[in-house]
Amino acid sequence: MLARILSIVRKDLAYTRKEHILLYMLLFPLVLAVAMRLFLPSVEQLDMTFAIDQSVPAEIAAQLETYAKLETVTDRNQLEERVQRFDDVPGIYYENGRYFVLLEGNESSAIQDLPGAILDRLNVGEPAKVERESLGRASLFRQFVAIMLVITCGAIGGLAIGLSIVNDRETRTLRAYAVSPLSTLEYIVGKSSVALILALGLSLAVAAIIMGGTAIDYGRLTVAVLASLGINIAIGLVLGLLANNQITAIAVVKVLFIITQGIPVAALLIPARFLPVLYPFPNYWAFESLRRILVEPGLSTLLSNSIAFFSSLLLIAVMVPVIRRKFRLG
Amino acid sequence: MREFLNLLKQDLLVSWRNGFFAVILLLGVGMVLLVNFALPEQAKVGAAEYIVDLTNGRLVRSSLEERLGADAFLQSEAEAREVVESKRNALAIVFRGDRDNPGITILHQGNEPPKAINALEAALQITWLQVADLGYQKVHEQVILRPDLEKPPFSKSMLPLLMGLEVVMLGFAFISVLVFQEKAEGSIKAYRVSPRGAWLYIWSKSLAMVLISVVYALIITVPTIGLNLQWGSYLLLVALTSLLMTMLGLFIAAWFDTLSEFIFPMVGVFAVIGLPAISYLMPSFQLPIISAIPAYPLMFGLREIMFPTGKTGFLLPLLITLVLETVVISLLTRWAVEKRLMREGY
Repeated sequence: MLARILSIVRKDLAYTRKEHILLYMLLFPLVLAVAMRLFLPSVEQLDMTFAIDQSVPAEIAAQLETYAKLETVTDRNQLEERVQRFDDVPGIYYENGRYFVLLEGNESSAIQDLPGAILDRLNVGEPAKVERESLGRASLFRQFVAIMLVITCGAIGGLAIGLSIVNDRETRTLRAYAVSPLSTLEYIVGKSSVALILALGLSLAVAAIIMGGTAIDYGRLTVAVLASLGINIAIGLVLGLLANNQITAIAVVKVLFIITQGIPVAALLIPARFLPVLYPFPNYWAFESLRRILVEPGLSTLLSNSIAFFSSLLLIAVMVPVIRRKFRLG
Repeated sequence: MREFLNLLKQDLLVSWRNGFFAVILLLGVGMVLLVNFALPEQAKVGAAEYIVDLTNGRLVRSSLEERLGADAFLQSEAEAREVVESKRNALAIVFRGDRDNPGITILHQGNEPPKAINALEAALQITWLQVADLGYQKVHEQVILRPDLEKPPFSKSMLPLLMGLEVVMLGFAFISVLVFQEKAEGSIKAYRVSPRGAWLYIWSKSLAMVLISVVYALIITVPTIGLNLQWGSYLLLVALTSLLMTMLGLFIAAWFDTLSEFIFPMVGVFAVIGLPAISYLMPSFQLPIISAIPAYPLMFGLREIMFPTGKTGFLLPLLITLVLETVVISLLTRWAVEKRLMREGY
């Protein structure tokens, strides 16, 4: 049994090397993680922007700069033009002893109210004593980028499994397997093992690159990634089942990527009361485990890991007889 | 011209046989269901703010509860600390004291930009003066250029984002399929010896992809927005951006030998193209590098067309920029196609 599995692994490694898939599979997430790491500081420290014209006194402009990034324009027309651009940038001008906050009308209520509150605050001083207590935590954006990249690494593992099955279909290698003693389970294990080991290694590497080496509980992260590996096998099997050549594979990949990436994004965007809509998807639970590890480390991942693991196992169990029948394996 | 139309027909037929139309129908229906039924009408992107009112007479709660809702108020400072500790997107504001001796504590995560916390502090000072009825001299007035603007529901406002990330990226992915299929089947070799040349090859494929993208856009747009739309501007913007991204897809695909190789850079390009989604979801924050990505003006331009705010003169500069970018990319694509696809040995 082990020999048969190793033979598939060896064949797959030869294929991935020949097609440079291994190189791209390794390089792509790491390059993306390094690029995101370089890009993150500019997003994490993004300040609001106010546009002011030259009527605003210099000392007020200097004080405004402690609250927002300033863009100075020469006159009122330019100020109006700036305010009406696509982004939400309010304008400020000074006339007859009063400040005017120029708004387009579709800004969020916070953006509408803040410039005026700041101007009033500069005038009234400090009526209440304010203290700040910071937990000194890193940006949430960083955590979510790390989660999405870990999920992408898993999806890439699934993609590699699927493309390898598609290659077996195109080259008719599956027909040779069908007349060999190879079982369906051995085929799946053989196809999955290298991709999944790489996906695990890459997941840990990209998380370390984004979060910084010491900010993660690698033990918990490893368990969560392992618990979700079944999802990536399932992605690969679905791709292998639905696509009989590389051409149809890309169409299937397009749909699968919406599910693998779209569900975590939806989980971030939709209010908590709508989250049960996502409960049937195993990758929601994988996302939830990662969220708990990287965002709310105090929470347990036992339930989410268990659901991700067993639901993906169930998905694979449902697919095994279909694969056996379709590929005529033992 | 006849040759071009024949090629276009052939590319559309190949696209049909490859199931591209089935894919866009499937994805389109999914998007419509997502927008019409799954996404909420209201959603807040950003920090969750909680308030603890420990002031004498509960001055803050009595003034703000109706506006902010009871869920925004916590009972004690200890509870606030617990919430901020456990919820990574939470910050809490504790009001204490009385009119003569007020105090405010901001409990925050520490990852917020310092200027944003300064602005919050300013807003809290003014809020305190208002809720405590202490009176203050307002030194500003608001001038709203278009006061009657209605904000679209959150679910519908996601449509330009979907168009930017999904519809116009379709050509990028699908054109590669046509290229690799022709490489694998050897039909590119037959094309090379024909007198048709690189431009016909590029434009027939690109136009086929643009047509598919436009159909995809229609599948999503009509059931979600309806027919009340400036269709000319809308379709022109979708078609031009799709053409640009399709040409970019062909330019990159030309350098790869198989689809398996191309998939990984493709996902990378998708990730970069997706960055303007940050600015779209948080329009008060702007970063020059993000606004330089073609998906940025597309998303905001489509938002203006779908949910007009009365902006004028935005479309022409947008279209001119897209045309210029497309001209540059098409020249690069022709060079790549000539070098990699129209010569023997590739």
